[in-house]
Amino acid sequence: MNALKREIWSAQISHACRYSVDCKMFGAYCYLSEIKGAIPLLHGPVGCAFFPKLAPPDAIRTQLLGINQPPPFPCTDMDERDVIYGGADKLRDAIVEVDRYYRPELIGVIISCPAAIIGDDIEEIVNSVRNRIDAEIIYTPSSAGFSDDERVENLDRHTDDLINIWKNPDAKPKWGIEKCGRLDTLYSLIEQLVEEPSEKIENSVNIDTYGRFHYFEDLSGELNEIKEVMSEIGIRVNTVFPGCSVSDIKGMARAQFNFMRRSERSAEFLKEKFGIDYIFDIFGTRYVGISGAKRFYLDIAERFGLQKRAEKVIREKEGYLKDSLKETREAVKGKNIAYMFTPLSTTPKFIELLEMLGCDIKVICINTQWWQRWGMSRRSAGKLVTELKSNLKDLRSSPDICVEDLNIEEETDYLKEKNIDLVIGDVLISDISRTMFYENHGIRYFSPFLFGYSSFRISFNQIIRLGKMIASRLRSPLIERKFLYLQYKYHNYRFPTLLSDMSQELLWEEIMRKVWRGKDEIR
Amino acid sequence: MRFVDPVQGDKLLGAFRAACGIKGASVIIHSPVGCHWGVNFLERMSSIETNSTISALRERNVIFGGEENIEKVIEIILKRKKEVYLFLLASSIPSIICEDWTAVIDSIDADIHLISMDCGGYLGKMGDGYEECLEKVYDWIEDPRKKEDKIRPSVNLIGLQRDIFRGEANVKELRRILGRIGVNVNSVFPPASLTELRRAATADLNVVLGYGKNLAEKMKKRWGMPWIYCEEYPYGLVGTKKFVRHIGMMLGVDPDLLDKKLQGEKERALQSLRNARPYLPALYGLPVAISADLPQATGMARFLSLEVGANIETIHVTSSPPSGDGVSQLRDICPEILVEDSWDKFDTLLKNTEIELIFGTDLEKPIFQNRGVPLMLFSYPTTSRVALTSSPYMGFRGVLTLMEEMVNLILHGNV
Repeated sequence: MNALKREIWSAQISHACRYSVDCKMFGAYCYLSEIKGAIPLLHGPVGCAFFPKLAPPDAIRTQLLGINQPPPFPCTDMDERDVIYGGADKLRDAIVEVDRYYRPELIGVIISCPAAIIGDDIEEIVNSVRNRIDAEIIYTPSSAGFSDDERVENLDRHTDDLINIWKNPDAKPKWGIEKCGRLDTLYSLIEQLVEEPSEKIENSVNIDTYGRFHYFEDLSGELNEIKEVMSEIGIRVNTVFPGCSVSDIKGMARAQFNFMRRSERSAEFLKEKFGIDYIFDIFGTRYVGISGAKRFYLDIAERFGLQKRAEKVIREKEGYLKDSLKETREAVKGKNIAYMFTPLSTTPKFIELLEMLGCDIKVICINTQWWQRWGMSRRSAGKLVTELKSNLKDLRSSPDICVEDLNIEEETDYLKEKNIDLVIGDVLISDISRTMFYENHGIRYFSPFLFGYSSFRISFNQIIRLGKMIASRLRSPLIERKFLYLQYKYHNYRFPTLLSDMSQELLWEEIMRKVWRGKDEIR
Repeated sequence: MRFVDPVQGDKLLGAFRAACGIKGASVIIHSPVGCHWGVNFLERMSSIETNSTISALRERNVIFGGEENIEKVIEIILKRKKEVYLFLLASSIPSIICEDWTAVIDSIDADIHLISMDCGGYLGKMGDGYEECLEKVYDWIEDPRKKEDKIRPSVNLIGLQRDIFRGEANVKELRRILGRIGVNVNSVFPPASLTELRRAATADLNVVLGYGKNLAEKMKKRWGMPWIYCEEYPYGLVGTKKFVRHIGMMLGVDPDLLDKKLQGEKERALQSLRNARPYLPALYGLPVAISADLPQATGMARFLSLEVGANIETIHVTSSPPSGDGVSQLRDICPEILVEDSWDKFDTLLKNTEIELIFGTDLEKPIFQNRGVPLMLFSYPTTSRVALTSSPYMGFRGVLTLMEEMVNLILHGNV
């Protein structure tokens, strides 16, 4: 996938999905699109099946399967008669015909809202045709769009979880995303496809990955590195899922261990049914940075009694890392670096990593506005900032920490006063827009995520890449520019929201807060 | 029954397309979040600034109903507007559980002008929703003030889609051409604003382009406005002349003036086309497939066949007005016609036919990507192209845009 296509898809998703939220049915479609040879089949009206295939293909499909188009989305074309009399026969016929026409390896039956309300017995229907088709088949019992998922939950609980994890990486989060359409489908795949193994593969592990619209991340880079390091340690990666084949999923129980990053329910199922133990790291907080990556390999190796070998492999990696970072350390020497971010997506560990790269962090700007707009209470935002500051007190650079929630004009003015050579930023969204804004104001800005780095990915190579990117950005010329993009009137606190879009944005946020999430205000 | 790989949305998308771009009005999709996500995604990607929001139904609403959600959303909207012009488009869930959403809004003590529609996805296709929504906006058209002596006659263009690639340029071109014969375009439906909608009854003639017959008939009954029906969009010199002549004759434009103006436009177009003239024979016999909404498919097929000399191998009518004329008029141009069929059937047909150019929609992108058949997007959805300049596909100037793109396709292998 080339960089431009990646950026275009990101821009399309970000523009078109503004002031809207997708549903579980779409999540199910996406997850199935990440399985090679799978065809999703919707039991529902044409309207639900029309738009998903017009959205950009997801990042796992493009990066791990190498397919740059979304899959087709056939449906049963549910009509009024089906809503009254039931659509079982239609679904049976459609399954058989999908099998005959597409010759898929897997058919994933997704139910829509109407099918769920009228109570068509999907399990019975699927089982009744199982023997008439060549493909494997699964169904997702709770993918109806009205089914609740955790996005409607209070973000404050998520905040509390993360604060606890900062204090204790082994703390178990209470908040999760188990009920989202994607993970529902993952569970269905595992529950309905994984087979009893004829034999176990010694020292083997399954790796769970994620990143539906994370076009900006190097998903395959992380996985290739994990496979390579594991192999050096003597551990075989059995299945990486999704982004795999149907037979990979069927053979998951051959592994002895699971590394799960999204669905603990699926991990528990595999443990109960096949005795496969697991590590669960839902927010990617356990294994951030170099120490995190080390810990990851040691944690897994320990399960196989391979710690010594792992330590040796890691020492070699660290040696290579140290050599590779010399250039970065030279480049950042004496430079004033600022780091500005939206907390939660950035953890204190990432800031420590920047110091390890040799960065002298003069200023840290923390901004919680984005979260507050999405429903985080002021109290939680305050707590988050306090906790974050206390986690940063041991930083070698002793930076000035600004927690004022500055608007973008104030932010650039403030950083200009501080004579900053490079601002490293992570604001969750609109990173290119912000880079352009900073450049227009004569400040060099760099967003690691724009270049494929993610602090949530377990990788030594990504750290080398991050260092090289910082060094390269410091060397890049700062040209006075007058970007067309910035000739419009933007809202200072909500950059890059146009002033003219503000009323729509505020309306949308209020409805999300009071109607969608507001369970205390409505029954 | 086999499966359907859909080539169109359902009733909700049709209604949303007609309602979501009207500045000054608000649209509430009464549904779970996903129904809104889908339709809003497509329209925003079609360069429409949508004015929509959602009642965000959840699991509990399936059991207890979503009336409270509507009340809450309207309360939030009323904080911002005193007088609300509101479309309430109810999706499958409230439709199946038989909610009385109109009663909820009637019980609110506020100045709300409501158009509500049952848009359960199982109740109809995109064309049904589009047609019904166009009919319903009749309620918001105002009686004309005392008739003033107008210098120029005017028309409303009903069913002229703005949310397709070059949609706004098409509107502009038809305004320009009609202006040349002394006819103003009063309103276009779907309208771009409430103002444009409210003044519709001041026009002298309604011109229905595929969609909007019921609206035109209602306006005729109430205000005595005559209407004419155009079964196809005006592509090409022939199609455009026929379209303009029909309107001119209806409005009593002097036939000599009409002929003179049309001849002048035609000559100018041909003059501009001269540089591409050497390539026109290369297009003779070009095997083409068309995938489009009925009025667009009809107009484009006629232009490509009669004026360009292309061979129309296959047509897929992806959507059509509920009271449409069918495809019989296309049979003499193309023997192989699918109507609102599953997309895979069209794909199979194309696999078995030597096609060198597709006039289609975003749905045909895989054929371009996988088999390298060039694709010209002109019918809904066309989300993967952006138009900024006034280069239409319709009208006299549209001939130039179409020919420019086709010839460049041949020269460079891509648009």
